[in-house]
Amino acid sequence: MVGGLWYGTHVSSPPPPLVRPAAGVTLDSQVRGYLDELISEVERHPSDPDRRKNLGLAYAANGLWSEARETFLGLKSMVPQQPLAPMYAAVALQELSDEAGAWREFLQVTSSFPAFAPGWYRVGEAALRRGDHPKVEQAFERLMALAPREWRGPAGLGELRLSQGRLEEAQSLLEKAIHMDFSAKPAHYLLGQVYRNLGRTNEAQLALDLGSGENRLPMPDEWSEEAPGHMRLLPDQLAQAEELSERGQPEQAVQLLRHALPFHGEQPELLNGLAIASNRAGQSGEALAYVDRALQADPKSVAALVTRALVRARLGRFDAGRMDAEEALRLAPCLTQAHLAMAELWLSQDNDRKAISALEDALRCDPKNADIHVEIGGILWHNLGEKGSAMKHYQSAVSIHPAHAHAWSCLGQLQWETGDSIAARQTHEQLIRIAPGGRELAELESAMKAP
Amino acid sequence: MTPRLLWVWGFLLFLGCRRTEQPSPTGSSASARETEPVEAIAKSSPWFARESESSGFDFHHSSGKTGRFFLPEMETGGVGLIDFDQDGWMDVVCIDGGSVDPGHPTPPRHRLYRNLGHWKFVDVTESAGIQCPDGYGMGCAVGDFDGDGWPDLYITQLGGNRLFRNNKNGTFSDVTQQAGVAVHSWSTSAAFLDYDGDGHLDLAVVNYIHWTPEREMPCFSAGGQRDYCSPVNYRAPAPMTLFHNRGDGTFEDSTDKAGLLRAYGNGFGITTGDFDHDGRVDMYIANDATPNQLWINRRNGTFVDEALLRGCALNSVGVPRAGMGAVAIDLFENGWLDLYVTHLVGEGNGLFVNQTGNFIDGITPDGPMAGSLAFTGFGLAFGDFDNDGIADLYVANGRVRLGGKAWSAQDAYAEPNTLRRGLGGGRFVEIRPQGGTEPPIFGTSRGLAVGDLDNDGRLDAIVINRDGPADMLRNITGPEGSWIGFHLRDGKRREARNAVVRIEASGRQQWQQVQPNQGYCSSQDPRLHFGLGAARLVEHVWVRWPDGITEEFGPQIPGAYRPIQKGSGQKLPAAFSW
Repeated sequence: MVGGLWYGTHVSSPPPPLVRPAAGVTLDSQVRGYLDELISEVERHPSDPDRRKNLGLAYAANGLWSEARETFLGLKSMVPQQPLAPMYAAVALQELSDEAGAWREFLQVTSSFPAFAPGWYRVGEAALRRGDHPKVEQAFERLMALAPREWRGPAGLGELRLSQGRLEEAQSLLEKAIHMDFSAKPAHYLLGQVYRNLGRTNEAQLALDLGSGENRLPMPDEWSEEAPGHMRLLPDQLAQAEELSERGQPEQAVQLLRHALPFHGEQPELLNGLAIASNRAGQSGEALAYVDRALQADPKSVAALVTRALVRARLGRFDAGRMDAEEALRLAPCLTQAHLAMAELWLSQDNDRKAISALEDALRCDPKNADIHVEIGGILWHNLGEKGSAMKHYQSAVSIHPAHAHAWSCLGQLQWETGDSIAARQTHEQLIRIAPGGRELAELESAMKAP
Repeated sequence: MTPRLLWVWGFLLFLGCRRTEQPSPTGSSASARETEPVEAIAKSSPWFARESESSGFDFHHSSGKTGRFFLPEMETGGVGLIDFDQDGWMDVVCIDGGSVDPGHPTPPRHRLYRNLGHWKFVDVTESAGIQCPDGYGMGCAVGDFDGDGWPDLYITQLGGNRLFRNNKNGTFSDVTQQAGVAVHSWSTSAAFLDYDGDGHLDLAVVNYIHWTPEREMPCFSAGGQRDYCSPVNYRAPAPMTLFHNRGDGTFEDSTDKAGLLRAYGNGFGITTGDFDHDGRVDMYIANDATPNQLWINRRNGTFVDEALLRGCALNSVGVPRAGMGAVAIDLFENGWLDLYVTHLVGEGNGLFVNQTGNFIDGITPDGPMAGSLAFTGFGLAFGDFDNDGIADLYVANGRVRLGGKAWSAQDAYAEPNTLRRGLGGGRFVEIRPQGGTEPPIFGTSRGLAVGDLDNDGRLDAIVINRDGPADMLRNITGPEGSWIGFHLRDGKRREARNAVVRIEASGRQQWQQVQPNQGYCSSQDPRLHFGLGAARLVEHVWVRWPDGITEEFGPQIPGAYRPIQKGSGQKLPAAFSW
């Protein structure tokens, strides 16, 4: 790997100046503490490029782009044979809104490091946004040659062909990109536009839905994978904790947020985040203590009230939990999460009808939320045996969100169970199109194998 | 809103997700020539002069900020042009914030300025009866909802909108309750339109998010400075509201019946028009960080959102942007309304090019979006400021978060406004001095209204700046280009909203539609203004009225605003090729 050439090595030339946060910048205490640590490291080992890199990444990950750029430029002078430092210096320039300067530097990166695939990716992306077709073509063709398994190569070229109206070529390239990585959402979205222009409306709708709503992440490199580990701003850490919980790792989420406690003490958002993560990790007693502290700091925090309702649901304190949810709704009418908490409380008491009623209230506030339909469908089917009504909710879910794999899977299972094998097989085919190899498909197939 | 969005948003910033859209190099090495921006900057003498307070126009906007970073404080400030006394001079209504801090309740101080002509204005707010004792001001829409030929005023707010009926004697009456159009949400932009073709103006209201002070949370910018949040943080997008005009001075809430609860987002901007050429007016909603909606009118009182399929919901690769203001304009002079939307810094403003009803996110080095990556755009308006026959573009900019180049020592969110001169075919060039004024305006600009305030045939502008004085910009371009204006009325002398005018002068055709309620929280001059360049005669004027009837009006002499009334032209057969 080109990027790893200098890892663990020291350079002999005089080290560049150490970059400190600009004077007068108000820094979050945890960010400052972390930066101080890394600055000390660099002071102790001024010729170690790895420590400089960490400092540059820490500046970038916490939004200090001027300092990040200066650090990456210093690193570039220390290790001129390394392409990531100049590329990240250019990224910093982009973040500082100097698009022309960044473009110049990306070109320089590919000129100096013609075998460095991420550099070509950056040039290709930038060229697409400039309408510079020859450069787009050159960059993505180079990327495809250098990184033949990277979906962004054919996707970039496919985007160019789409804009040129060369639809068949675009289709072929975009299908190739999706074949490389089915989760490549931008490729699905672009393919949807191709299908639309070809008059294949149904396929277009599905591909557009599959491809919408997520940012196109830049091509990964060695540094980008380290970046999230340097985030020390509280909102970023809360979001990371939520992501960990979503991925079924709530214990790690708790660990992550506990590190922030010494810096953010009684910050209600942190305490609420800890309560959510602790509750998900099965530590409801701790969760209650955290959320009580959050509400002491801000008695009108609707987020904390919702959290306490959910914690109390798990602790079996249903009446108190409902009071929390009701108070949250009084303070913020149409708060979907409060209705969902109310549903959770009723479900915990096996009161399915009231749970459904609460979920319907949630739908009124958030009518395009397909997950709520799936939830209602599940209760109707599994708890109340009302399969016809459940079917309608699953159908609503897939109508709102045609690429909702879980909803399709539930729909197919219900179709199979009710003896509509033809519909179930059609649903199965649909699921193969939208989530090949996914858990949802496996669940449906398992159900269809059952007697 | 998925929880994942936040996380992705957080580290995307680090990874560098921005797109460039400037030069067009052709070689493989980075020579200086290659890296010069293609969109050459055109140095010019100023296009506008700022009117001083001695004109009587002295509006000073207040967001009521108290250091608690309540999100509404960052988005407030619309402006509208309304000839409320029908004296032929466009009067000005300015929308103030007030305060959302429960500890400092302050009603908004909206102002109505009567235009006395010749750049003299007088504040007539009190005598006209434009008072909002509560709510937090956002924007306004002007329209003749009762069809009496006099423009009425709708003010959008957080916590209760207001409808003021024009009493035809210099005063207004607050008829919000009788009319049934309060909307106790956080409304932003609004537009009058006749969606069912019954001759009565209906009202579409865009809502942002479900917000109360209790839903506020601390957010931070670079390094950890306390700052305003993104709407994504609240996860509470609100559906729009549609009021059907019963024709008796009251409205019914037809939102649900019309199918508008099926899609929603953090709504900011609205523009309307017949985007698919089926003869009925559609609605386009620009949403902040959520997909936009294109509500296609199904001609039966209902709408369906086809933005995703038609290609104007997201950017070219499926990502929602922070839509702020929106306008519909036929930029390529082919009879199809394109869409232009202002966005957040780093996203660039967006042009959705209408290709016979489907759109593409058109990015070109010299398009109207070029150079916009560095700014956060809000108010916007296309208008032929220099009367050369091609629409120019003015954008009111101002940040929503801290960071980036410091343009003003007083206001960390300030940015310069931008002015781009149209070159034809969707190509533009940036005018310097920035924004066409010397010195440039640095403010947190929000609402923008463009119109001819002195009836000299040259378009002027008003910009609302958050927590600052509004800028009234007098057009001082030369008198070289000729022009013509039209004021359209239907057979009953009511506003002909969404009527389309096509003119031909010296072999060139131009299209415009009547829809002043567009941009960001603002209402533009309801008259249509066409710059004509060197043309000395408008040979043809065709009007397609909202009911589909097309009439041709004879040659017109430039240099004046001409009334055009339905039924007074030569009716063309239905087969007429529009």
